[in-house]
Amino acid sequence: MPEPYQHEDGQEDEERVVDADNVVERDGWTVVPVRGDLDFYSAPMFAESVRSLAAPGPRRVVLDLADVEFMDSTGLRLLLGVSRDLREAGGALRLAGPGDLVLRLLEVTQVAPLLPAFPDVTSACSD
Amino acid sequence: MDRLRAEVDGLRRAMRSRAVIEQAKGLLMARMSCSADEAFGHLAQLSQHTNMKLAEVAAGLLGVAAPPSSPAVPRGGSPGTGQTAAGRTTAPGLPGTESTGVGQPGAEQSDAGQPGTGQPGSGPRGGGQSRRARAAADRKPEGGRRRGTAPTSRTVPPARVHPAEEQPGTTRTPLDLSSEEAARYHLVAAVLETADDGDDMARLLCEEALGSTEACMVAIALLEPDGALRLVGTHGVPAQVASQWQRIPPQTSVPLTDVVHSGEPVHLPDRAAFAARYPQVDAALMPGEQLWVVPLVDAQGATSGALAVGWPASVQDMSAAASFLGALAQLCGGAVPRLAARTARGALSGDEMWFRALLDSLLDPVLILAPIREAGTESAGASTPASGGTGGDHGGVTDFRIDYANAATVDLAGRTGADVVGRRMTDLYPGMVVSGVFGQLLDVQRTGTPYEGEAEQFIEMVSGHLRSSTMTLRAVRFLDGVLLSWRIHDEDERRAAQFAQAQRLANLGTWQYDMGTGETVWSPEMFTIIGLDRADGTPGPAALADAVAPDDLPAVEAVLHELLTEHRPQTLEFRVTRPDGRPCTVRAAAEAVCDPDGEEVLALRGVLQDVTAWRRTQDALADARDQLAEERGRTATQHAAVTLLQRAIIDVPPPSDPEVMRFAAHYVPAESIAQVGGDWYDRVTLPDGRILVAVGDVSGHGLPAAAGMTQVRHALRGMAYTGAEPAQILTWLNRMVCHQRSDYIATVICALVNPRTRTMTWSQAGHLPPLHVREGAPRVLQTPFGMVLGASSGAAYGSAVVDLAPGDMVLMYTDGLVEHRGADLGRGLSRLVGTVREGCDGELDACVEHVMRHLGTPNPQDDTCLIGFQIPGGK
Repeated sequence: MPEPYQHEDGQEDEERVVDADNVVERDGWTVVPVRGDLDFYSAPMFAESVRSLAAPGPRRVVLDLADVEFMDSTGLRLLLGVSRDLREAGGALRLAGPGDLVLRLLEVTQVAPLLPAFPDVTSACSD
Repeated sequence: MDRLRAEVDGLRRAMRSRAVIEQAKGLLMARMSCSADEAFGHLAQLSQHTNMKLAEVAAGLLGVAAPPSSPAVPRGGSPGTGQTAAGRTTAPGLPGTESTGVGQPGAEQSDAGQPGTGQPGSGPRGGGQSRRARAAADRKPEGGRRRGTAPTSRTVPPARVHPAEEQPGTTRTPLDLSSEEAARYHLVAAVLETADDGDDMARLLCEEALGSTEACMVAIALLEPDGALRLVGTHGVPAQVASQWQRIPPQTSVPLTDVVHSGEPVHLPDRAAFAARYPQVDAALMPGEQLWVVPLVDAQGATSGALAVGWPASVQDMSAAASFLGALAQLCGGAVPRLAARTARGALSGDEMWFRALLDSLLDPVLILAPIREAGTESAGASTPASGGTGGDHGGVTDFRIDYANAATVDLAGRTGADVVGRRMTDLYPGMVVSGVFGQLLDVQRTGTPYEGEAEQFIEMVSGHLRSSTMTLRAVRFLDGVLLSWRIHDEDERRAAQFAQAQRLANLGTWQYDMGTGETVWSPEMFTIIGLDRADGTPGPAALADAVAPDDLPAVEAVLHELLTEHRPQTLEFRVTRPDGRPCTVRAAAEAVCDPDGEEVLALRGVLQDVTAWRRTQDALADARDQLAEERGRTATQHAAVTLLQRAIIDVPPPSDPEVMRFAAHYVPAESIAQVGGDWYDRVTLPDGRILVAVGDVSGHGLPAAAGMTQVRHALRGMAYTGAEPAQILTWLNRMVCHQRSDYIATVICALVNPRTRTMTWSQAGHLPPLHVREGAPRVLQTPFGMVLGASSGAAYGSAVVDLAPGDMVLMYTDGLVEHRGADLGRGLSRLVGTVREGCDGELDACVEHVMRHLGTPNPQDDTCLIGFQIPGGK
């Protein structure tokens, strides 16, 4: 099983969920590329990265999910948590380019109002 | 830096010796009726005259006064009695028992006649022994006599009295230690309690206790619940070796394991002897030429581990050391558990915390039974009068001790957990021994094959009266012991108990306040939470304000104001001042019931949950998580535990009234280890005759998910018992999950089936839609709105009503059934619908089986859960 622990053991770059090097500012939004699986295993690292990126103040953040293939309920919980934290700080969270699987998960769990999804980064950053 | 460390070490050593000196002072004060200063003066004088260190003089003095009783290495002798008594005699020497440590030696010695003039080495004398020796003699004449002779009157010269060469290596030797050993024994007894950790303890044993024998190596190993040995401390062992041998599986034959299994010490005079006995093991494994290994014994007299000591080749044959080592092992056996407690977060404690917290949330009684192994079959036979007709060999296990009993535990005799913990099964339930069930438990422990009893009549003698009840008993092996659970079959009794328990387990009370009449109605649990007596009646609003902690009162008042003016539901966490002073934090959800115009508030109502324990559990779980990260080697056990728990938690009895509604459930835990998720279901008949059917999934895996699952499931059940509708229940549930900022989200379907009107009223929170199957044709039900629990505290929940015809089925499931990694969820659902269409034109059981056969391959990533019910009748 020790999958979850491999992360802690510092498995290298390919395990990293948030591509911190390619974060860009765009029209007042901070666009954070996410890749790989957003699940139980990557959750701790994901939470840590996003927290540090979105740390100070009322940030408006777009998570670019185009390269996310899989997300489970733990991943969803984290997105909800990030969204809530940003909202409470006066910021906002949007999702860009989620795949069918992620969209379906958002639909079933009926959280679309909390996690607005856009087809791509450009539309997510408009307005 | 080094100087500082040396200074600290020196100080620490001084502190250690002080304990012994203080005791010796106390002894002198009592016996010479002198002051503390005078007593200290005597000691100092002696120290000068004998040219010994003050601490050694003091230890010697104590050794003179109260030599250790024959601290026999455990034998077949009745450990329950003799060993305990022997263990207790060491207490006066232990600073851990400070109150007796100073007072008792003097008191016990008052009949010894001769005031100790404090010459170290004038020989052991033990007036205090005789009482115990007599007590022991009553039970065990032979041992008692042995024990009685040595300490009472004979003065033992400084030299060794019993040359152990006469009976080398046997532990039946009456163990008079030489006075020098007795002194060391006491010094060690005192310093062991100050050990910083296991390695420190090993060092102390090696240097302080055995330094004079030139011992070069000490290793202490403790028996783990799964039968393996864990090295808790070593001295003189290369770090590499110590690290490699951290855990020794029970199958490995090395001196440490052999000693633990046999209960007998092992002496290997040289490496040749080692190689002859353990050809598979490198004789250089343990440093030193000569090796002695003796069993550690805990306070109950059970073997708890082993102590190994090595000497270099330059040391002569140490055969004679048996008795002294036995005494040390006994000290060590007592000191190690205290060390674990002192250094907090012992390796096991984390596991126990979460495991027990979860057991406590189960509705059925669960006992953790620890095996009692008694070496020497003759005495085992004597102390456990009947091991059933199952024969003697159960891997040495002759009885079980109840290590833990969960909160739901009430046995046939009405005893609760506190009454049964620590006691033996054969003592508590002789009826089980007679009926053979006890034999089954031994078999479960030995073979690992679970025992699933039929409903059978159990009879126990309760204070002179026979009581009988129909129960189903279930037992599974857990670690090295057995997990035992049972359920009483008395429908009414059980239902009432379940309601009370559901409320109690969720620590959930309900209340309503009628604005017009000023009348307040509380559920019984409210009284328990607030700490008031039901007999005093329900308190009025003013008295209630007193119950709120003063600091939190403004917040409560603000919320009440909001509720009365805005009519919006409110949640709040606040502290309660209980009359008994116990700290208590509650989470309250309240709403206003308005007149049809929405203008006037008619009543206020809500639920109150005691979250004090929940917070504690959260903390315990956080600890447990830390532990998990550290202890990867234990994952297999944990997987088994979580799976077992999940089974136990979602264990739903078949409906007792199949003519009203049939029910089927299929549950497959995640295939890979520690992936076991938070899937659960529930089915219970409510007091109003409706049937609650619920299925849910808590995010995450492993322990946190299991904890969330128990919380949600029990809270939902408790709320359902209040008669609330599904949408209301989910609203409450969501507010609770949100408010506690849980680290999980949860999906759930909550359905209430009314068998009379044949309708199902249901609500859902972010869950996959149920299937309604009529005459073999499945229909995906349109889900009423409702967000996943824990996403937003303002979420609202809709509900829908489905009319059911005789023969109709409703299937509910979790995403493990339709969702596999890499596959599309929508396609999974279509596949499910297709599968149902092919084979669900008949009985429910066949349908569920059909679906599971086609789709229910164990999902490596997630649990798979499918439940269904069917209205009887139809074609």
